[in-house]
Amino acid sequence: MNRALASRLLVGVLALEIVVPAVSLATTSTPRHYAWSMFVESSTDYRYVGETTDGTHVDLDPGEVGRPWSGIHYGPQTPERLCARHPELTSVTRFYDTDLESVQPCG
Amino acid sequence: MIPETVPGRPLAAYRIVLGLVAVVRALALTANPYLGNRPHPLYSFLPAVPTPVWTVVGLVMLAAAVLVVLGVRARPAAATVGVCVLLLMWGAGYYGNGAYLLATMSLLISCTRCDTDLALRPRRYADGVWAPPVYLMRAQITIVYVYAALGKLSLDFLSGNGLASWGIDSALAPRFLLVLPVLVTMAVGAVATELFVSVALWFRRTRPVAITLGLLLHLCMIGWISDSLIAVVELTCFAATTTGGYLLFVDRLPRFVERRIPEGSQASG
Repeated sequence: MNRALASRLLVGVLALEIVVPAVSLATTSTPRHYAWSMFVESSTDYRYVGETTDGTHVDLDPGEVGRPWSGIHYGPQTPERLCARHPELTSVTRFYDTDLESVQPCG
Repeated sequence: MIPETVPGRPLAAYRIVLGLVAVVRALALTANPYLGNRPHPLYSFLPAVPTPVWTVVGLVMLAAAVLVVLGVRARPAAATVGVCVLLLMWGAGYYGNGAYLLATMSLLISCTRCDTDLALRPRRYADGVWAPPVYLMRAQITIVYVYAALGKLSLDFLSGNGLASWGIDSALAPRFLLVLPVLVTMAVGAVATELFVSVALWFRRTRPVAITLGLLLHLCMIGWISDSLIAVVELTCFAATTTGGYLLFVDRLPRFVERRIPEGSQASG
């Protein structure tokens, strides 16, 4: 194969290298194929449960301390702030999906 | 703008890296059906093929990978590795970014004169190692980083949420780093690093920084995401395929290396 033809073929391959992931990125959602998307959107749901002095468990809304998205991990400040907002609680537990992530003692 | 030839030794070194990655992946892909990951086609229009067929494909890939490492019929062997990975990806459904990158780079390197050096049977080419196919491989490395960064431009990743999810499951990520300011900084930093590396690898002055940051990025990725030994191996293979590609950006060998290469090899690469 002469080099002029080979060069044209290489340009064609380069075009494919660029276009294929662009089309995948534009037309599909994660997990994408052929788009070099290493990141698959996490579907983790974070839940907060408080425990009162008499052992009762109550579901807590992180939105009341400015954490509106349950799909986002906001770090240790969220359980701390929920403790501060609810002085009747002895602890706040954070779950990711069904698993326990951390227990924050209050007070 | 693109030179006529490039040095053969860095390309040959990358061939060996690719070959070693292919050996590991061939073993993993061959073992896959026997570890509970039953093969099924990636697309419904493809026929289901019995497991022994995929075992044969995996073993052929393994043999070809060894030849790539040794530099014996390296170019057809690299093409064979690429085709085997594609067959296993599409036919057996073992798709993954690492496998896809290995297939792409194997097919691309089979179009280069990667067999002039560091080989049991080095080949001699009177007109040296033609540069354009090597530049195409460089472009592929850049494309991977650019699209990896673009794919992360979402609230989910930039908020640090994705990193938090991985960090919780990781055996290596320290728990005290799972705080919002650190996670957001890391997430934005990862995207910025990928974009920087994709461009900076092309310029001699910025290349050392790009290589350092790229290696750090992949090390952090392995540490942060790995939740098992298999994940460590998987991510290390991906990192080797990508960062090994930095070798392709070597325009000129250092003088002390050039002096040690026999004259014939230098002429060919």
